[in-house]
Amino acid sequence: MGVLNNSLPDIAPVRGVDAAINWGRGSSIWPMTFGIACCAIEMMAVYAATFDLDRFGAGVPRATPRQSDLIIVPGTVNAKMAVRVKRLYDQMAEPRYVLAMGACVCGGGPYVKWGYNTVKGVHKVIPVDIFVPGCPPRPEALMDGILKLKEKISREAVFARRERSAREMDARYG
Amino acid sequence: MFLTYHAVLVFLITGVVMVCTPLVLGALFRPRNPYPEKSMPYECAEDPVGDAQIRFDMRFYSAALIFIIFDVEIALMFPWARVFQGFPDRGLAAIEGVIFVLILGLGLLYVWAKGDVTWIKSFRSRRRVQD
Amino acid sequence: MNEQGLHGRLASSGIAGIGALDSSARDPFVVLESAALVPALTFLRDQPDTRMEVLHNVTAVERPDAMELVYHLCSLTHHHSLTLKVKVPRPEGGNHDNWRPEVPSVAGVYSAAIWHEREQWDLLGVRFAGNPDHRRILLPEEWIGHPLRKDYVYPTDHGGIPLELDAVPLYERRPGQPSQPPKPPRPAGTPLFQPPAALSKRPVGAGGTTDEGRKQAEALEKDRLARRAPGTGAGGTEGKP
Repeated sequence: MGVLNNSLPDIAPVRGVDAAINWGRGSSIWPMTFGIACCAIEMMAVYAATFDLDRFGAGVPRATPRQSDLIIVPGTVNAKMAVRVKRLYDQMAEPRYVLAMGACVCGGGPYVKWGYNTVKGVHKVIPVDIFVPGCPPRPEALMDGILKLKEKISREAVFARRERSAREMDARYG
Repeated sequence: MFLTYHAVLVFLITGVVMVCTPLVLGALFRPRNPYPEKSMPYECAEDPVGDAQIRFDMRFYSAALIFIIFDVEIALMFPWARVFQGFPDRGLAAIEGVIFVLILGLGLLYVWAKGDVTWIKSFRSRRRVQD
Repeated sequence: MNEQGLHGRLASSGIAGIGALDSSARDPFVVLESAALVPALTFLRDQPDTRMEVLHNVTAVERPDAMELVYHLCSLTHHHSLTLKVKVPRPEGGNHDNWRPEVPSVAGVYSAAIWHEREQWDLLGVRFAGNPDHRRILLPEEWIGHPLRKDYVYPTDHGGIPLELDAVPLYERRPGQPSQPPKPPRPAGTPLFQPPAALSKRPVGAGGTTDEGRKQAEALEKDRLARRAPGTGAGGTEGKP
């Protein structure tokens, strides 16, 4: 990480700066346009007019992982696709977040018993922050997930030397 | 003697500070975690295929070259125009200026005749000529 | 022409190996020998009174004693259709590892069959002699096995990607530790995931169309309402007035 990350004492001014940075990061989560299967239709519905996601700052989907903060993984992940999902996650720049949308991605979904080619949950391949179950989840559920992600970001420790979660500490994944 | 230019110095320093501060702060604050899979070129999540260097069209190069030549000509015309009034022999200065432009205009004619100023070169017209 | 007529035309065409018409199913079908497959399909496609231009589907069914290939043909000019079946018997000890039933390919008769036959090769391991493009169509090319066989052993991972529900995620693997908790090897034909015994406490027979089931369902409902608001027991479900 950067030179000053997680190195300053945990006092109020530092926490204030952390809060400001987390407010900035959480209010402008730019997702990546990455639709795999049926849940992508609901994701498109969330970007569109009725359930507008832009009012939460997350309505600027980027086509490339280099510019995006969030990868929403909607739809069943096959063994073929899991390699690509992992590569896309690897090519995102920190800080990066993952939202698993749909039953297939949260734990296998309808393919958990007999699916010979599907990954039973994308958390086997990339670390996931938010799980949004449903088949497909309603657009309001996906918006709720993104707002919960904003809450989660607001609890992160950027400068303060606070205990970080196991996922944040993983040197390889951010 | 240089005090008349102190405003320029202030602007210069402000500009440099305004550019460098975000760069330095960013380098201090941003996460830095490069690893090989992250530095791989992005090819829609596939393994990158082919060379990273692409062959570009030569017309861009020739257009830029022609532009540079005539831009430099224009830049050289400005001081000539500025000191024109002070010349004792204005007729000779005018003729020399015109000769300068004509020589470079000859170059433009050559480039034009060679076809390097047209962007889209169609084959159909040439085929009709041959018929 | 209905299926009887089509079967009659086919049987009187002089092709050896046409079986009887089986009308027990919703789609009456004709069982053929595999040697009669391509001549029969060519006959049905080219004869002016049958003119079956469309091959809807080539599919296969694995039975304990044979592999059945099913062909659905249809005519756009005469608006009739027919189903043809070819049975390839299973040899002694023929299972997923060593048996690949062989059938002549109809790709020369109908080009649509190329992809259908690729799918059957991919998922069930049926070889088609003469298919110009005999490779996998759905699964990755390097996949081993034919998953829709009844005795297929589900793999635990493919190309490094874990395919099991309780596998250790990739980012939590440390060198020297196994990638999933040790388990006995899974026998062929068992599913990947067995749900735990009782996910709900509701008896299996409650509800439904039988009297016993309905009584059980009403008892459960009364119990639930009593627990939610003690004192409001009373009979009957709340319905529209």
